[in-house]
Amino acid sequence: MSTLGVAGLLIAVLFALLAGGVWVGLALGIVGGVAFVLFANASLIDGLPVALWGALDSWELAALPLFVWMGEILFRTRLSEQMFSALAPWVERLPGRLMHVNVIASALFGAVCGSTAATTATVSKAALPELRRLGYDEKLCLGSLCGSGTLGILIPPSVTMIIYAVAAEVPIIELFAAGLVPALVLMLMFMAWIAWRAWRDPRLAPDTGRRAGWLQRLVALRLLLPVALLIAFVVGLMLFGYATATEGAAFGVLGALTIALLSRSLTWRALRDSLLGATKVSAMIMLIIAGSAFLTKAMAYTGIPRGLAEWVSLQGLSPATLILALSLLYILLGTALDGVSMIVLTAAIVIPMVQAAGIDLVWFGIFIILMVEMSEITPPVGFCLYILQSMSGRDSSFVAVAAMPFFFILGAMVVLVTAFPSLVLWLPQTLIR
Amino acid sequence: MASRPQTEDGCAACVVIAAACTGLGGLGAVLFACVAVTMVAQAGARAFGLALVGGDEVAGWLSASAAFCAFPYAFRQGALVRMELVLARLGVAALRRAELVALSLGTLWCVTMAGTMARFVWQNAAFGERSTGLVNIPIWTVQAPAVVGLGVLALAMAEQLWRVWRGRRPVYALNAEAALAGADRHTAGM
Repeated sequence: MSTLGVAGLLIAVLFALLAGGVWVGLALGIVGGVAFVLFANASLIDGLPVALWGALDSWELAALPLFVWMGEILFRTRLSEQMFSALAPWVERLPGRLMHVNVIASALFGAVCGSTAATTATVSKAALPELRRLGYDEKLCLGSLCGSGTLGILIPPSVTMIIYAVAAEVPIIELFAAGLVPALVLMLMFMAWIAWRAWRDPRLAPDTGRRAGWLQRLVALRLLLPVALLIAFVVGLMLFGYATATEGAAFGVLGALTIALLSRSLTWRALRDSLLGATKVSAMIMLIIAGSAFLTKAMAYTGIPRGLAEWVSLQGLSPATLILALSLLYILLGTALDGVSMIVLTAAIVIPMVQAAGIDLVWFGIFIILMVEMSEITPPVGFCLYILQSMSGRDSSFVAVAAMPFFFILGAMVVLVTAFPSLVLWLPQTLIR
Repeated sequence: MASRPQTEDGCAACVVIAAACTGLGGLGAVLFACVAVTMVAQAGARAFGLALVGGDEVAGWLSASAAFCAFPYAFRQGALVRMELVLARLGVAALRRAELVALSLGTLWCVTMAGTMARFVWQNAAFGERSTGLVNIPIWTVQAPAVVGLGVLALAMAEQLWRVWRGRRPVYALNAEAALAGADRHTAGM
């Protein structure tokens, strides 16, 4: 059978399994098993357990459950309400008013939390009831919460970046640093969109007549102190080389527990729930990683990744054309799959291809993160959409339409980083390389 | 608080499997917490000029063992992701058939994983394989939880297969619905 035939067969089996509701981690493993038995002259008996154990026995991957736990702890504190009160007086005069708090608070929470879902849920918990009470436009409000919630994985720490870093063998901390500038630009773009919409139609963000003086604003800022200290502590430790990502994650947990303790929200129940929640999420991700590690190993035997990489380099595609093609592929996959599955599913094939085309793997990591962000707000499968759907009580199409402009802003961001790669690469090069 | 879905089946084996999933999930949670303790200890010791040998290796073992232990728990809680796109459009009878196929394939694959893992770890023990890094211990001692976790995952899959076969809705689906209904209050997940 030709390489192309083999690839077609395996993809068909994979999508049949996924569509039939086989759990992603298991479906990846089964396809790996099929590839292994049919095309590799190696024994499944030895190959499977070595790949499974080898994939999960990794101190780098050990950062993942810790960052998830950190987010779960902070989700159960009053941090989001505090951020809202601290930021609100600062944006009252901007067109769009408190809607900007959604963006800034998401970015701040993203800097202490590694997932979009936890960021969206935490910020929305405080913002949604308040903005509704003040009569803000619900569509723009939900859209901005959805869109800026995805900043959670672009701003370090980021669970998704850890998964990509392990798959592509890129230093986690370089990837963390690479996300910062694009995140800042993206924030400004989100805020510009909100301001533009509200400037055109002031009814979207009604004036409540509240005006805080400078003194009041500064006093309100004290509420940001816990989160600011935690960001400085964790991100600072990692970016300036005092701690590895895994150690940074452990200190993040410690810091989050301290904040919870000081704000009197650290009950036994909250501690247990946060740890069990993190355990569930981590197990879910790690089963997918184990399955994909085995699939990757099996794929190497079939020669598909190498063949495809050679084919791509022979075509003499420009990197921009390749990125355009991959963008379309990821947007398509993103409608049906979650971010983690999307990354590990394609890693085995796409990373050798991208490398052959001479694209920087740290840059490509940020590209993939932006793609995952887009996928989280595209229907029918998007975690951010689910969360806001359940929190607002609106139906899925209402939330999806609300998030649409932010999907296009993310798309514009992809174009920006493709045109100006230094947006991504400048900070890690200055700081680390 | 969402009302707890009816997740218990009366039979003794089902009760034991459900308890094993919960118990192992708790163990996994404790092991994940131990990763944090190890890392804080390592970095803390370094700050005071002490070298704590092998913290990274221990963290890798703890986190891998924790994950294997937590698989069955995550499965029963409905936390393992699957593509719902097609399933959501099926009627009751077709959905049941799809679940039966998915669970059969899942059980088969989990048995394969558990079996090969058991053989692998058994051989490591028989040949006295030791870890290669700074901490030198028999490697099977840290790999044993992987066998237990995958074994219980296979049992949990088989038990759900039996449950669906008898015409009841699977526990993981009920738990996933309950979790989604309370997404704002409980957990965010990924």
